[in-house]
Amino acid sequence: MKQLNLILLFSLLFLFSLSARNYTVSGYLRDAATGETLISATVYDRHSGKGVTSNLYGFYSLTLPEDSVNLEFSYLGYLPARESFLLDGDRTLNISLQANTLLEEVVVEAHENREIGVRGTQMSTVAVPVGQIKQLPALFGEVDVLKALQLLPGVQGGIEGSSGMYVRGGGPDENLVLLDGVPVYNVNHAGGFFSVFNADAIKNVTLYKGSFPARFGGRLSSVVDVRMNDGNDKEIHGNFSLGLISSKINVEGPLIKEKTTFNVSLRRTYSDLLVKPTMAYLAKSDPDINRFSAGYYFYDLNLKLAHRFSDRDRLYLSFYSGDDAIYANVKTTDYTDSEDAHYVSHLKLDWKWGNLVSALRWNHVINPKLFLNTTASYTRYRFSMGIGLTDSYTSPTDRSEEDASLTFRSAIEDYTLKTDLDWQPDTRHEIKGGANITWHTFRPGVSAISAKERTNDDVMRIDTTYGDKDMASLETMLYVEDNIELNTFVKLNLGLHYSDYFVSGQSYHSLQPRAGLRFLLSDAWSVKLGYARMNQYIHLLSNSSISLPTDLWVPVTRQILPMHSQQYSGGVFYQWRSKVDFSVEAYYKTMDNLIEYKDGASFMGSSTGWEEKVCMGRGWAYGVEFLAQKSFGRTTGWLAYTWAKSERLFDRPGQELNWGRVFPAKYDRRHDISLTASHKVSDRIDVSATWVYATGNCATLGTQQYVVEGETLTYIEGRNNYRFEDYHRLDVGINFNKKKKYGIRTWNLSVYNAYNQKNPFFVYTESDYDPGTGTVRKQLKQVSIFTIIPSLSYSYKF
Amino acid sequence: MMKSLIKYGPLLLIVGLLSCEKEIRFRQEVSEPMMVLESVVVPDSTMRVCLTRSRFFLDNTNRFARVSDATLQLFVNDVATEQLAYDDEGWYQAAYVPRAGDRLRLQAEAPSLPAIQAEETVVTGVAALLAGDSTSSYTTYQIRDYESYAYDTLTYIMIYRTDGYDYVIIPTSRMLEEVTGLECRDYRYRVEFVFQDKKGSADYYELSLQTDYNAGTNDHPEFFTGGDNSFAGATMSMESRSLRTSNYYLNLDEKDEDDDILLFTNTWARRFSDEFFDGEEVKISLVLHLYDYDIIDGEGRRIPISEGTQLRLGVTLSCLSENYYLFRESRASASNDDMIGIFSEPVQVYSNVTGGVGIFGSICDRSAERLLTTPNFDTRIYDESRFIYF
Repeated sequence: MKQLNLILLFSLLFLFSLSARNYTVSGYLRDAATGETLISATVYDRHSGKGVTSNLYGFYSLTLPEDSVNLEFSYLGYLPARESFLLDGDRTLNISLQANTLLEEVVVEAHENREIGVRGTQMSTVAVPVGQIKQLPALFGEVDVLKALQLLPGVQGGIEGSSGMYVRGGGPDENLVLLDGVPVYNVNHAGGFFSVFNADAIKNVTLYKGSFPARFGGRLSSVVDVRMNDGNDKEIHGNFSLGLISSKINVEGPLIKEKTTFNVSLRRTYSDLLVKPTMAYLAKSDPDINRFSAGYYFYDLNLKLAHRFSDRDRLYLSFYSGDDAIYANVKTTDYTDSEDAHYVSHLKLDWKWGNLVSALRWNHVINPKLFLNTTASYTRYRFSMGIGLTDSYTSPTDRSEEDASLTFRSAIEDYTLKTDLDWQPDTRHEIKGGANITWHTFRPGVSAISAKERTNDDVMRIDTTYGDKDMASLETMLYVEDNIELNTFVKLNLGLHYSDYFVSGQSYHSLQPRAGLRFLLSDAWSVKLGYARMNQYIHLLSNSSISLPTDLWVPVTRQILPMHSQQYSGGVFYQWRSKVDFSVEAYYKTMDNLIEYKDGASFMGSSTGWEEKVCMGRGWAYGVEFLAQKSFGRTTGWLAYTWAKSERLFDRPGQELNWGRVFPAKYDRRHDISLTASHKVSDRIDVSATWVYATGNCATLGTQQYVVEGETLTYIEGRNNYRFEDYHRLDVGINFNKKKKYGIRTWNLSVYNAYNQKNPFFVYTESDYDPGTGTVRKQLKQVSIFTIIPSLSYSYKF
Repeated sequence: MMKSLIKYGPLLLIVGLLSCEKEIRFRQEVSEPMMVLESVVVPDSTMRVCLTRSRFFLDNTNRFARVSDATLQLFVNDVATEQLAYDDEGWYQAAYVPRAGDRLRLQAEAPSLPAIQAEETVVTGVAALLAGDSTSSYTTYQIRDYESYAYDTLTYIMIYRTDGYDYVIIPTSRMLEEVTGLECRDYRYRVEFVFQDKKGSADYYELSLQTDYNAGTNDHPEFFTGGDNSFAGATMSMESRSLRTSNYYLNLDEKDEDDDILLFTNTWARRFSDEFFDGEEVKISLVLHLYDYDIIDGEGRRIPISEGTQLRLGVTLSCLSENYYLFRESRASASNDDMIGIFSEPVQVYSNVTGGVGIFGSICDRSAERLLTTPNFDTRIYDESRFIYF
């Protein structure tokens, strides 16, 4: 009876709250200078203590009771704006904020970034301002967004110099990387040493490591949400940069002032052009070489168009295309037999791989409380390899020619249609919901071989194509989440994510609850708890830790089931004088149906029989992460420390690894420290430094040798039983800025690995036999790459 | 200056990269040597055990020390049966003769080494390996594409066939000055062997083939089959090896990356389990080719360079215990690992020795053989309609 009374009381209160007169203030938040919309900017009513953040498109909607309001609009790095008025009806209020170029550490009171700061329910999430990323020292002078994320707690890089990411004990294929909401399947250039993201084209980067909002799904370990700039809607601006290995240019501006904008960025490496003189010299110095050209390059093209039909309707077109290419063209002539007879050999090599991502997005404000985003997108990653060899022999009496070529192609492509709704029914609820349907096509690999042999008048031909069949799958996803403010102190985010994956006549379903809870202890302190269950339906077949273009995405099968994980997290958050954010988070994650290659198995560009080469098992990871981050002012940066452990157990019958015993995951690292700092000395000079320290990577090394049946064998105690030496490195950079007639020019000098630490890349054993004494000396050797690397770049911003 | 830079730049780069290699100390705990046990038990045969010491992988030594002072106890069906004695040849010999189905346990202790223990059940082999049906056929075709190289008294003729190539070696004196072609007779044999798998038990097998050529006459030219110095009386190639039951087919060539293994070494082996044909009659089907060659001179005459070849084809079906099967499979993977090691995890070789390492296995062999012959020159029948001209 008591319970019934309580339910009635709450129901009455709820009805009363609905019947109270509420009005909605809504609009867009923009940069005053560029018109660029501001993501996750804060709108806060000092009078009622209520507030919201702008969504991914800069739109906000705040529903308040009828009363006088005192709104404050703030965003990191911008001067706050205030508006006071009597709220007696729905109102549209578009606000433009001025960037704070004074470098004064303006104190914005503790209600910034409500989604992920002290006051937000979201935890395990870090937003790194792109401006801060651009200030970091860079390898070969090339700033890399994903490498900057590796410096955050809970994120580990793979091998030296690569932009691989291992988040909270997960694998490299467990990260969902989104460019304007569209997945990018291969985020690496040049074997993973550069990512595909050109920092000049990027507006915002947010990394989710846990407590995932219900709108995300499809990967176990992280979501990297990268958003491109829309473009300046007032005037044309841009910048270009010349580096040692690449150059880039970015131009943005209005096509129709304050209505239609464009933003276009192009980056290309030119190592292939730099080696051309060497090639030409080699060709010239050897009379047998007729033609000799070879090289490698990659390029990225980002394009974004945005058009504002009205305050209620906007249309965006995002486009990215990036390719890597390796080519060679070598033609030689050999006159060794006689002057009349000669052999001609011609080798042509042409490898290409890359992504194409495009999205057409329509934003529509249905009413001040309801915002609709509908997106149609296409993403594709493809790899093609062509090798051609022609040998011919010509003499006065004979003529023969052999022509052989091999081409290999693989790809994955997705067509997606999705819709998202943001609804703020009242002051206590922020509801998001949506649906997504994706048609995946996997083209795992097709080889075509053709050969022609001609001897005088006889011709023999072979022309054959073989490979794996295309596979298609349909992925459907529905989600709903509600950010509920129970009272000033307690806020709750509840979400439910449902997915269905249909492949090869089999359907897999998954219902994934998500929850986040925040207790606001004071304006500066909060405690948060989070839970997320995630599912993943695709696997990346990869040879090694290096990202190779031959890596293949394949869907789950009847034999290899979807991976799923559960993550529990909790943390304490503190904001010191609204300047520095501190957080300590602990997490525990379990993962099931993980796959690992069997001992000795490898993937060599064909998916045939891949299920036989892998084992399924489970894993778990846990750790504690500490982050102190200062994002604005003359001095910015962060200190991150992670203590973590990640283990695997593959003990299913017939699928045992490591004798069915627990072993450390490939990138299990106990300690990881990153310290980054940037300081603006003056308007003309700014300096930056990054120092990283990490426990060495794991490797499998047999430490005992024995002999059985006359054969010397190696005894391996366990998978990943050996640890490389600890890794540490200091990078430094300095920018010299000067105001010129049409803009600002900057010289950047960066030194990667400034104290020339020889960090391990791999180790091997070597035996030196001394025939004099008949003895053998065995040594353990370590190979390092990327010792000290200075780089210089010039850029001009206009 | 620029030229020098271009010329020596890549060299300097390589030197720079090589300087990134350095010798490092092994900083982790150095693992202690273990006792290594090796014993493969054959039912109804005397049993012997070899004990050695493992060594640290950075030890500057090339030898493995035998353990001669161990106390090695044999248990049969959990009953302590005897203590094995060390003999002069470095083996511990057992007086007990194991029988199929015996559960054996070995326990060994030796000074300064951790004690070890291993268990094995002696396998029961298949009842018999019988010769099954065989068929043969032949095709004749002319080969125009060949190369000959004369070295002193021998002439090497390299023959390109559609399915491979051969070297034929004949005395230079027999090589005609005017050769317009070669004629090849391709004898194709399908040979079957049959065995009955035991029902209700997980059985593991290893099928191995042995070939032995028997050249006809002394002045017969020798055939060189591949790229090393093993001479043979004829050339052959293996087309396929398979297992067949009433409802199951297993292609044993699937794992065969290099079909020349048999040609190079005259031995070949594949392991498989009865997971998909438990209790069935199994036919082992082998298809192979023998080739004879004639030289065709300028007048179209055929002069034989090989004839009357005999090939003894030996087949051994070994029944392995599960332990021994897993050991041999993992050892084979570990041996192949060198080719792809940089892209794969090193293979952990299976061991059933607790406290140490090695293998205590069991094996039981059944063998059978067939003699394959090609006709003599004077008995050949030329069927022009069956010639294939390239």
